[in-house]
Amino acid sequence: MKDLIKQIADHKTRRNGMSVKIGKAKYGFTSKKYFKLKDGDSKFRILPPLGDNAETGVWSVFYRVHYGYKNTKGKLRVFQSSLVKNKKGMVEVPDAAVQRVADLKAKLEAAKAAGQKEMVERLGKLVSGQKPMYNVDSNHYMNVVDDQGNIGVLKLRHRAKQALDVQIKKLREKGIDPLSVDNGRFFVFTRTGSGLDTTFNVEILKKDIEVAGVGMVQQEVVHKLSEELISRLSDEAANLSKLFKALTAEQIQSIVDRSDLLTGQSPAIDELFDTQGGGDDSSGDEGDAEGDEEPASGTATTAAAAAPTQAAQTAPPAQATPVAIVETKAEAKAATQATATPAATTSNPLQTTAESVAGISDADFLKSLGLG
Amino acid sequence: MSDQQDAPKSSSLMVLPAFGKAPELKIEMANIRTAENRLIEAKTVNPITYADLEHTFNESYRDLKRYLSSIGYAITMAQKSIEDAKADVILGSYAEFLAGKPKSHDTLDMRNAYLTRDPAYTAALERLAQLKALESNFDGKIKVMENVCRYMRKQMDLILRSGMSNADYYVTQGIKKK
Repeated sequence: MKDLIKQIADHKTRRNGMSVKIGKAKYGFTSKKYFKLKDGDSKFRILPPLGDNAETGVWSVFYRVHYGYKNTKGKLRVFQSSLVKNKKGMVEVPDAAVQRVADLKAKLEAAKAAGQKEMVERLGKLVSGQKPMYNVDSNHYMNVVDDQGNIGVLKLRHRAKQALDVQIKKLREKGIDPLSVDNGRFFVFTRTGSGLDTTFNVEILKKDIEVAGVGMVQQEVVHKLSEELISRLSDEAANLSKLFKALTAEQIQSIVDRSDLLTGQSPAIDELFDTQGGGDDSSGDEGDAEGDEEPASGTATTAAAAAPTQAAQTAPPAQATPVAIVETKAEAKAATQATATPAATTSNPLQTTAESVAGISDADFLKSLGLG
Repeated sequence: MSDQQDAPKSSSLMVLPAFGKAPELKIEMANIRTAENRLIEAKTVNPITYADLEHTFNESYRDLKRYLSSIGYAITMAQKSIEDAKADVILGSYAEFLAGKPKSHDTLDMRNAYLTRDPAYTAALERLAQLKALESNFDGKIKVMENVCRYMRKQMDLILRSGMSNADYYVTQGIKKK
């Protein structure tokens, strides 16, 4: 009898041992990939609502994000704008960082009008050109898969999103949900021009097939999310409602008031981001200077929840990257800027440290630079 | 104790005294007056002045909206004061006044006439009229701020879409003689 019990116990042990799931080890932090449209064609398949947004059905979130502010170590920290406008276009919740950019742009215009080349050059670095230091980047963000199978977050300008919405509407009229798991579609985004003349076109990806007696015909490429792809979503896709940290108008005011205008470094960033564990790295890449558009009120879903920001890093070397896709290297850029900016600071005889700037207004600071 | 000590420190601070259960209402008019003084500048708005003007007008707009909601609360409190005063009179001195008189004396006109002579009721009515006038005044100011911002946005849109160089919009110096 004892032998029989022992045999059964051994059998159970063996059986249980065999049913243990074996997982893949995680080493460190899994970074998110950020895609943006570049000149030419880019192919993306938009993923259905995931995680927290699965119930609400939100697949795209609009963010207005500030770039240019850093902690005292020189690391870029991005955060959402607090600006809220009502339907009449009046500002209900102000944003000191937006106001600073507007003021600097006005100073730049004034300097241009007065023909002050030196001032134009100095201010231009801050708010003008292709890569200005201070920028408010307005985009729609959505989880996508590119044609190489890379999962990431695509950021779209409002005009591109509008073109995408047209195509989605057309498909839905035919009873097709292009974001569905089994019957998804790839979209071909074509970007042409630059600046305010940038145009976006969105088409459904099609392939040519030979039909006997008819000839070549075009067929939409149907994409099904495979088990392998779905298993990667938890690690590689982003929670769209928590992409960027949301700060209050007062917190942003504090960042701006205490920041060094030339370097963007602010002790308030340390207090808000690094001591509260509010985000380790900057998300996405630095915003483009090309005409930022915003959706009409009510058309965009804006995430309001404060959340840690997620890191944007370069793609793993094993994964091929299509030519039209730019992967963000915010870290690298931030590091470059961090190393580049101290030189600019030291070359300035005024020694515009964060401490000295904290006590004076922007207007006074510009005056001290001879720009007032 | 001089009266000066109780006077508001800022000349732009408007104080509506407490009335009944309604607390004192302090209205800081500095931003509003600054914006109103700068309204004329909207006529010549350009990319240099736009940001500052828009900020000034929006700041004033937010102040006005905030004070308007406080005035709305004060109006509700004043209406309640009227009802309280009315109830005190009708259930108190008016009931005594009607005692021994025929029922036909209790008409609406008689009641109104009696109420009008009551100081608490009249004061509450005056307070309400004052607040409504203030509300109407602030409403007008809000509309002015909305209209001036809309006008400036249109002007800036026209300037940006005109394709002309920004330098053509500013007169910073006289004609250069070659």
